[in-house]
Amino acid sequence: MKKNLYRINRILLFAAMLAMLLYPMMAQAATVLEVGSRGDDVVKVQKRLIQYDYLDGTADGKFGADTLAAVKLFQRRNGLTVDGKVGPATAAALGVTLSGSSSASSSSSSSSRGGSSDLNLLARVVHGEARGEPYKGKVAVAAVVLNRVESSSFPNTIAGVVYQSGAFSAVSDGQINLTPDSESIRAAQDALNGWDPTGGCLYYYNPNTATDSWIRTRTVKTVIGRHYFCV
Amino acid sequence: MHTLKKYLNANLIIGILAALCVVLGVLSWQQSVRAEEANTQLNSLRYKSFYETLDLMDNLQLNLEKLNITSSRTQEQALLSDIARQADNAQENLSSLPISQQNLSDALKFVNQLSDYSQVLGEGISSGRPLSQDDQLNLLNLAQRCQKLGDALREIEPQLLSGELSFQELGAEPVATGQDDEESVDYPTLIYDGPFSDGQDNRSFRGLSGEAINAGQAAQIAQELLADRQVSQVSQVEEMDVPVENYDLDVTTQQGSFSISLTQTGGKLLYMLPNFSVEGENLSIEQCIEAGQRFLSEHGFGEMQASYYKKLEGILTVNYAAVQQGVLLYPDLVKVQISMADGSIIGIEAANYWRNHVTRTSLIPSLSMDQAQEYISDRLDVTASRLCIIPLNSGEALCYEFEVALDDARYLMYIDANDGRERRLLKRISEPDGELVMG
Repeated sequence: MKKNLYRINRILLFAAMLAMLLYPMMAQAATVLEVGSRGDDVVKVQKRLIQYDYLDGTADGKFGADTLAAVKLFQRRNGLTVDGKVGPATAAALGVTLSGSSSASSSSSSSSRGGSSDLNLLARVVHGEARGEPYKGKVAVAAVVLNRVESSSFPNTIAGVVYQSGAFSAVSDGQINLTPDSESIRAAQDALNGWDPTGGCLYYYNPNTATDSWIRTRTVKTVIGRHYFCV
Repeated sequence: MHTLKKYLNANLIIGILAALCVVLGVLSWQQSVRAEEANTQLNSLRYKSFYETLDLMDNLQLNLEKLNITSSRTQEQALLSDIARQADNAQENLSSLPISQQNLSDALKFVNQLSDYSQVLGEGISSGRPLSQDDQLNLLNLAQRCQKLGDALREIEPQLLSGELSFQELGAEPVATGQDDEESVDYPTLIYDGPFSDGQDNRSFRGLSGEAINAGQAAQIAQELLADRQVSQVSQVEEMDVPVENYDLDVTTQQGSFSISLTQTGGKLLYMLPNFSVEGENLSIEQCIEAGQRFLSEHGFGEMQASYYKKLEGILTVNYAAVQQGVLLYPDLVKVQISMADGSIIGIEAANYWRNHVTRTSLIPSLSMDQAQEYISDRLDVTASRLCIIPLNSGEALCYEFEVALDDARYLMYIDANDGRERRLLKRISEPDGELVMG
């Protein structure tokens, strides 16, 4: 009896040590999807490829020849390494978070200019910053990012503006890594096409939550939803 | 027996708790080690950005001073292109430092303008415009600013290295960039023909004319615009003064609600945006493009021609450019959104149109189309051509647009119709859901 209990104790200890050993490994191993992969992650990738018109048909969760061709085309068009596998970089560019990967977050926008990775990044800002705002307010947030890119006082790329230190709370709290909904994508596209309900504003804030007193000194040009837009 | 059981139970619980404590302890220790590692990595990147900025400031200062000494055109151009690249580089490094935007904006503006200005000067030299005395003075002034910015960075370097000043603290105060600081760098005002020039801030709306309308008239115009969708309510949201005086209205119709902006001068449509989504695609792309064309001519936009389009979520967005005497005016662009469900016009963006749309006076080219085509490499097949006006960084140019093909790729090449210079090259992208160009 006593022996048994000791054995259980030892097993528990062993399990705990095993967990400790595995823990860092599990955290570091990023999921990579390739031909033959199956499951929810593949469905997520396929849905995105269908949405962006790289793939026809339905998301069946099986990584086959069609999915391979679509992934390769997507990688080629977006300046990624064309290996036909969906690793952290491709997943980030697609705007999907693979459930197995823990540390693949915000590295989507480094290489390509223009095109769908910019659209995706902008859509993620809109989704993270203006979810629940009226449609006009979403276009307005995207327009502010683009106005900053055009302004001499800010970095000159969408990624540079978005990831500038402390520029957007969605970056600090990680909401930028959420998958954008279709309305956010449309709003980002409209802003890229030139729609700007802010008339060229460079800042916005929510007067109920803004903690920065400096931002309140800016001239407010328009109010859309809960955001004040200013120059 | 009873006590033995109790004893064993207690032993078991203590054992499990001890194991848990060890596991938690080790896990949290691992966490903190990893957080430390991540922090060190991040700081290394920041140090790299910091030192590169410092280096670039020194190099920029040197190159700017050299420009004052050299008298060779080739050397001047080489220096200017180096300066443009180094200033761009400095911009990227500065913006990856954890300094808040308001504390950094002056320094960013300085390096952005420096890059932009030296590019403009370089282009000037290549088209036969040498550096003027004013340019030389500006360049010397800029060299001094680079030195001051470099000095300011050098001043905080020992504090950063010793850990006396963390990058977090650095971000909290306007170091090297501040306005109130006595040691602050006083940046010059630069006016030149570039996108970041101080003169570019207020682009006027040259296409607007007519009487100023009042709020009531604005509501009336908005109502008429959407009369076919049974307007149930027009509410004036506000008067706005950017990008030009306008009325910002919300219009509720049976189709859904729209945000509309009308200019006060002349009551022109600045933009319209639908606050609803479109379900279903019943019309072809061609039918939608035609519907947009019809709408534009019915609403006083004159002759316009569709160029690029993209489909997203049942909405087709089409670019239409104005046409004058058969010449396509790309700066005078209207973007129209057409519902692919029923062909109704649901969105418009016309700010650039009203900025640029005036009657052009010089549409007669000095070169014939054949003469212009001689500037294009023989390797390329010319598949189409026409006369057009394209926007430049400042101003515009009359060009021949040649559609050229190389293997499977198609490009649009713009040859200046007066001097044969290649002004711009765009790549055409054809996708099932759109016809686009990339710069």
